[in-house]
Amino acid sequence: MATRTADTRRVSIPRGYFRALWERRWFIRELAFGNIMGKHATDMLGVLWWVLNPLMMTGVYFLVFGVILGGRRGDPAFLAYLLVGVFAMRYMSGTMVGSAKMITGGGKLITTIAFPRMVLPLAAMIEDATAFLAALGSFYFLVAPINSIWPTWWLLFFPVPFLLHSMFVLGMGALTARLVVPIRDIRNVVPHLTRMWFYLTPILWTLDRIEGAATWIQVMVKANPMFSFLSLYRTALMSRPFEPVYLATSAAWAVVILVFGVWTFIRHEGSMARYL
Amino acid sequence: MTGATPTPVPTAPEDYAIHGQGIRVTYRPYTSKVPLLGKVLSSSGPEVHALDGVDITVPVGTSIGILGRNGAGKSTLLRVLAGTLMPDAGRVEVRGRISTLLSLGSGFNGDLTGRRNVWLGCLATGLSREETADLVEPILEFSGIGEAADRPLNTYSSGMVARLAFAIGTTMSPDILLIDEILSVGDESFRDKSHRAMRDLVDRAGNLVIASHRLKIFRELCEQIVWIDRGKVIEVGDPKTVIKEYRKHIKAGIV
Repeated sequence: MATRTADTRRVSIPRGYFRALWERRWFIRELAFGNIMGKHATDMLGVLWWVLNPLMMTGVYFLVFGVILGGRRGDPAFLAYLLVGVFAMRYMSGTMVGSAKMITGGGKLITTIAFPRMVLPLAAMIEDATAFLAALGSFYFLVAPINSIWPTWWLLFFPVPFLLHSMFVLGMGALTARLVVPIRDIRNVVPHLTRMWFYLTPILWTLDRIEGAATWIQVMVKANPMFSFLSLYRTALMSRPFEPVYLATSAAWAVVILVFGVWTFIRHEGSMARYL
Repeated sequence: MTGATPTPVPTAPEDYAIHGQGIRVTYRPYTSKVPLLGKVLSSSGPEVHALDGVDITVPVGTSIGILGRNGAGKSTLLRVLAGTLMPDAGRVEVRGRISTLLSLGSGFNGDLTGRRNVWLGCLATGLSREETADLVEPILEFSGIGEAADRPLNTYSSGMVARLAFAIGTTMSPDILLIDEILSVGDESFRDKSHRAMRDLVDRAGNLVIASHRLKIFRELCEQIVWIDRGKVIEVGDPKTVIKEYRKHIKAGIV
């Protein structure tokens, strides 16, 4: 027989938390992929929308920002440049919104069954990571004929930015999920925040746009964690020059946000049920 | 007024399945918990003492009823025992595997089929994939929902959802089953079936904790009643005595 002691409020991560999380791996998988099935089961093209949605979105951006506003002159392979940014950004914002939804929508699950709540942001992340990888599957089919970009040995480097970015994304998801419980309004703010983040990151525009701008602007643009991750992704997928400094900043951002996000989430998960 | 009767504490630690002391839960409206403005806003929201120092002991192999009016704190107490809600103060010790049927029906994902929801429910409690695979068919069979198992849960009647939830809760053969006001669901035959399942559980030294304000269930299934009101234990004792007291107070309009 197991003894479970629920002492007053938790100040640190309880012992055995991560083991309990590991024991829920099948639950996480079911939540992540059950969502995918549920979400698209009623659409005719089904899971194909995973790929089509970001592609259509990129199409709109390409037309408006690339062609009409002339952004494509900034990069010889603007479509590839744009696709990497849109996909990676969708992965993050999708997980942030998804984590919040898991908490607010999973109300009864949370008040009924005791399980480590990190299951929820993790499932949200895995769902969006899968959608991200599925969308990337279409990448070379598009950019090879249009931008003549082909996979090179650098593609083997892809797991590195993917892992670091995923750590960061999970941390952001946990942070959003932790905040959405006491402050429901976060749900309305997150989409605008991520959109702002998207526009401020060099995705629709290229770095030459800020040449000659004030130093603080230059510093701000490069301090943006997404900028670091995108630099590494573009190295892996588009064979852009590898700059070690972005590997260092990516790793730093990934570790700091993951540890902080998960720590604050777990600290507060015991009081979650009283707000749902 | 009877006042809080202290529950006798068992001498040996093996004697109880659940032992809680001084459980206190305070709800605040969530807007008062904005981290940065917490100090400013926390004074504006009224605090609700859902549980105000509750002691509860469930000896192994007994079934306990939690009696009280709506809003007395029954559901909150069950959540604390289930481990889904961390109390503000107090200690809860639980021995054995818990299964909950709290506020039935909505712990599920409506877009998914009944079968997949059974998977979700079992996996959430920490069962392995193999254990769950072995349980899915027995659960569906017990629920008696038939072919509806492969239809989305959205298409179910509330009675069918409740049957499914009850089937999950009992088929997992937990050591402790927590039930929150559901016994009125389902038709006659299912009610008989569910009562039998609950008695079986108690017979194999399992524990039942039922929260309700329906007195009949307590007489049928419980050996001990804990009567709570406004977050405090009013009386603990055998069903006959406590229910009599409770009735008296209800009639007199005291509680």
